[in-house]
Amino acid sequence: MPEHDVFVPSGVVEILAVMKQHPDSLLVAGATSIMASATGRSAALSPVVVSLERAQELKAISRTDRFVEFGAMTTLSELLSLRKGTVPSILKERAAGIGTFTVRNLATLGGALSCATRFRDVFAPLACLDALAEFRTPQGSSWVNVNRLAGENGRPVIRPGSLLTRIRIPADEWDFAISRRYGLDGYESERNAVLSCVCRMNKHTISEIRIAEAGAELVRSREAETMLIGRKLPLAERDKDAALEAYAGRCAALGLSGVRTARFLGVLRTLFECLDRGEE
Amino acid sequence: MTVSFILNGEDVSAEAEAGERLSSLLSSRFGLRGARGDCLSGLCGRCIVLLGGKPVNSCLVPAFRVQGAEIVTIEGFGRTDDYRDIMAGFRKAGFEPCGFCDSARVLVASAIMEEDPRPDDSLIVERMSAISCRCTQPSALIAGVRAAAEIRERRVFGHAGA
Ligand SMILES: Cc1cc2nc3c(=O)[nH]c(=O)nc-3n(C[C@H](O)[C@H](O)[C@H](O)COP(=O)(O)OP(=O)(O)OC[C@H]3O[C@@H](n4cnc5c(N)ncnc54)[C@H](O)[C@@H]3O)c2cc1C
Repeated sequence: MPEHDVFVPSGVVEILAVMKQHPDSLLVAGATSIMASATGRSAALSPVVVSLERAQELKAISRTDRFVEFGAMTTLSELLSLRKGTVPSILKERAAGIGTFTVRNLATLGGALSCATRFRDVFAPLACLDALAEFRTPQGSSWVNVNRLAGENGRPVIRPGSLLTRIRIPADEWDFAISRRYGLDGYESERNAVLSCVCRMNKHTISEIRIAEAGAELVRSREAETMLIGRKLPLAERDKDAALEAYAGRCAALGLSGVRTARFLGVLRTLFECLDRGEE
Repeated sequence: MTVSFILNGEDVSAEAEAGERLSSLLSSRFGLRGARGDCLSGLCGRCIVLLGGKPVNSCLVPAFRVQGAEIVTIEGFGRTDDYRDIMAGFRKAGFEPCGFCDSARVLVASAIMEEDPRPDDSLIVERMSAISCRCTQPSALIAGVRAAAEIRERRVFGHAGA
């Protein structure tokens, strides 16, 4: 039987102390992705395991006028059980689509943001809401916009030796918010993704818009978003074409395949039609 | 490692690998075969148990996680009044889950009634979708859980609501 040292710290300071002593330790939140990716009766774990489950600070949920903040160990079920209006609906919808309620009773928001293989379904809504994630290391702490959790190639960036502690979501009001998952394959497939969009309008003119697509890669283009600001709804065909061209440029910069790019642009066109009709 | 936990109301301990699935631990060390999952990836829902009162896929729970926890399997739940209510409700509605999914259906039914003593159809269907088995129609599931909820309400409160 392989021997493991399993630490179950009761607070963040203790977790960081273990991480400092054992830089190669494996952090375990709900364990769902770790166990689901294993075969056989046991999962092969690192020799040192740090279970985050007993750290109460990582389970706190708070709300102010400006944002709602989740401890990284908030389970998806806990997030979904919050009163209507506490959590942006596009995030709730996507969290509700992850696994089944028995999986969501285990899986955590922090775990969903820390998966290295691909972006999970909650990522696109968080990216277009410009959510912030707090990371702590034995050396210090920092707040990072979740859009920066994607590397140059759009793929998830792992932050070794960092503990994700809190996720802060601005409580801004949006006139239009939509989030759709597409692609039929299993949740680990490279061929499905989530497209999310939030938009603020002033007399049928776009005053702010954010669009994020996340699957194997995160695609977001500030250039295209800026181009859309000030445009009247329904969008003129030339405005749509110009935005799509900017997105095609972003896909090329990320090195996405032609098929992947074409699918994304097709979904974007549908999104623009929904925006025109105000249909969420 | 040695894991100690409460299993169906009793204090127990067992030697296990830290990453061993709870489903495996339950069947190989305790002879409990009610949570007999075989997909090993949280997809079939057959291995559902209650962890701290909440239904979870036991194939996704590593052994180290149950240290100090409370686990209830169908074998333990089968000794409760809630179990009898659920079985009576299922029978009354003519709902007979197959041998593949019956234990998981009962545990999920208990969780539904815990969440909402008068569950609506959408809650029943959504929660039961945790078990992937085609033995039954949604209408039968709804009828079964509703009948169970009524019987339970009558037992607990002395009457069933409108
Ligand atoms: C049956 C099933 C169906 C699923 N369906 C979907 C789906 O439809 N859509 C979808 O998007 N996903 C789906 N998933 C994947 C699911 O989203 C992830 O398994 C889950 O979000 C991971 O959360 P966790 O708390 O279990 O993380 P864990 O498995 O504990 O950890 C995941 C990774 O994150 C690291 N980690 C965890 N917490 C932290 C932290 N606080 N700081 C730093 N690192 C950390 C761990 O070291 C590990 O590398 C499904 C999973 C299962 C099992």
